[in-house]
Amino acid sequence: MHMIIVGCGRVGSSLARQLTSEGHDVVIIDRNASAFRRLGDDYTSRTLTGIGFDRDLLIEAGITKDSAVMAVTSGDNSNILIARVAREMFGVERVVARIYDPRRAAIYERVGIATVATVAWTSKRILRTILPYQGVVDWTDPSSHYHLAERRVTAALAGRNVESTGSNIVLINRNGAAQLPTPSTVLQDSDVVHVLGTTAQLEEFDRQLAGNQGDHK
Amino acid sequence: MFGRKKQPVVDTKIPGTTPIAEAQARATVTITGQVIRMQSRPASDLPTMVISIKDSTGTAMATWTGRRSMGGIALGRHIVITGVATHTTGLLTFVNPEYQLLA
Amino acid sequence: MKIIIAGAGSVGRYMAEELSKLGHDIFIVDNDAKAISRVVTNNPRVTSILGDGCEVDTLTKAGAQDADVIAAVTGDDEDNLVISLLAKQEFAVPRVVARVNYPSNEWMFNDMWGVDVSVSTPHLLTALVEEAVAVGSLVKLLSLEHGKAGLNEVTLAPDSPAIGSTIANLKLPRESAVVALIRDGHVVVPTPDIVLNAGDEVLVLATGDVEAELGRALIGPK
Repeated sequence: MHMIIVGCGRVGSSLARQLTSEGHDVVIIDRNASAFRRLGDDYTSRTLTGIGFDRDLLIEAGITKDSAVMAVTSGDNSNILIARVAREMFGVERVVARIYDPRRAAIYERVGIATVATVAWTSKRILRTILPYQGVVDWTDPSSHYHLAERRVTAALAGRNVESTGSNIVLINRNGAAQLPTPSTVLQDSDVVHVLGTTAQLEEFDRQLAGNQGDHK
Repeated sequence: MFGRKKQPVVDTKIPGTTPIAEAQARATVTITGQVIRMQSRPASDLPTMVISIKDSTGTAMATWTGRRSMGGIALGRHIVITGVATHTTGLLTFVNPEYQLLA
Repeated sequence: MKIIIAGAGSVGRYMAEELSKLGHDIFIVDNDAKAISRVVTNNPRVTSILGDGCEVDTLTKAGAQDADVIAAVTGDDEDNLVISLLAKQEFAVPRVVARVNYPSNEWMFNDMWGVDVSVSTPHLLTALVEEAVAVGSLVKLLSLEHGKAGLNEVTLAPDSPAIGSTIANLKLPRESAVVALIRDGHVVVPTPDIVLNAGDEVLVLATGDVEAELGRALIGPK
C-alpha cells in the first residue's frame, strides 16, 4: 500500500521503518530534513522535506485516493490540517491524525477524521486505524477461545444496527464517549467498536467491515 | 445486551431533546427528527453534506464540512443531533454536530 | 458589538485599539503574556484572556458563545484555521474573519474551516496595485485626516470628458486640487494651461465626499 507519513518524530520514524520492512511503499515527510536522521542509515524509502498540508508536496509524494495518510507531527493543528487536506482535496479514505489532547480529538472526530489521542497512541494503534482488517486482537481469554478486538466502523457497516451484524459488540466509542450498545443501537461512521468473539466470529465481522457480507442481512 | 430478548426497534426516549421550534441558537442543544432532505455537494474542492431534519414543531439543518457522504444517513432516517446552532439563515443550522442514528 | 480577537501581535493589537475606540466590546486572546500586556496597558477597556485560542476552554472564557465576531489574526495560518473552525462549530459565531499569512494557504480559508472572510495582506496589496493600474476608474490611494481627505487617482480613459481640456477648465469640485500628473512616466506639475491626454494619470487631493463629482469630471457620467 502507498503510505504517506507526515512527521518524522519518534512515532513517525518507527511507523516508517515498520511499514517499509513490511513491504509497503512508504514516503515520510517532515519540515526539517534533520529529522530524517531518526530513520537510521539503512533506511531505504523516500523522504520529502516540506509542509505536510501543502498540496504540491503531497502530489510529489505520490498521493492518490488509495493512499493511506498518517499525520503524526508534534502539532495537533498541523495534523488535523494534513488529515483534512488528504481527505477533502485528494479523496483519501484511510487517514488518521494524532491529536495530543483527547478533548480536541473528540471535536475533530466530528469532522469525521479518525484521530488517535495521546493516551492511546502507539504505532500499533495508528496502524489499526489505517488497516482495520489485519485480524489484530487486544485480548484473548485464558481458554484461548474468545478474543476482544477493536475495530473502526466503515461505510459498509454504518447505518446497520448491532443486532444485524450478528456479532457481540460490547462497547462503542463515539465522539469521545463510551456507550454500552443495545441490539438496536445503530452503528455510525467513525464509531470505534469493541467486539468479543471467537476467531471465526471476528473474521466474519472483519469481512462485514470490508463490505463482503456474510449470511447476515 | 447479549441477551436474546427482543428489543423495540426504535429508541424512543432520548434524554434532553428539545423541540426544534423551541431550540435556542448559540447554546448546546439536542434535537431529534427525521431526515427529510439530503444534499451532498461533492464539488472537488468544497465537499459538504447538508441535511434537513424535521420534527413535529419545525425544521432544522445540519452541515458537515469536508464530507461527501456519511454512512447510514438516509432520507427518512430518524436522527439525533447535538451541537451549537446559528439562526442566521432563519433556520436552526448546525455545523459539524454530533449525531446519532436511530433505527 | 462583541468582538474576540485571537492573536495579540501587531495586527491583533492594532485591531483591538481601533475597534475599542469605536466603542466595541473587545476581548483579546493570546498565549503570550507580554503581548497581551502591550495591548491592555494602552487600552484598559480591552479584556484580555491568556490562553491558546485553539482551545475550546479559552474561547469559552473569552465569551465566544455570545460574540458577534471572531477575528483569527495570529501569525500562524494553522492556528487561524483551527480557531475559525471551533468558532463556527462549537460556538456558532455569526462572523468569522481570518488572516492569511501565506498566500499559498489561502485556498483553505473558506467554509471548510468556518471562515466567512479572509484577508491576505500580500494578496490585497497585489489587488490594489492591479486596480491602481486599471484605466478609467477612480482609486483612493490614501486616506488622510481620519478619512476626511483623500488622495485619489485616475488614469484617463480615451472616452474621458477631461481629454482635450486644460486643467483650469476641468469641472472639478471646489474642495479638490490636482496635485500632480504622471505622463509617460514623468511627473508633470499641473499648471493651469496643461492640456490633458488619454493615458494621463491624474492625482487629485480632495476633502469631503466628492467622489461622484470627481468621477463626472474625469471619467464621465455613469
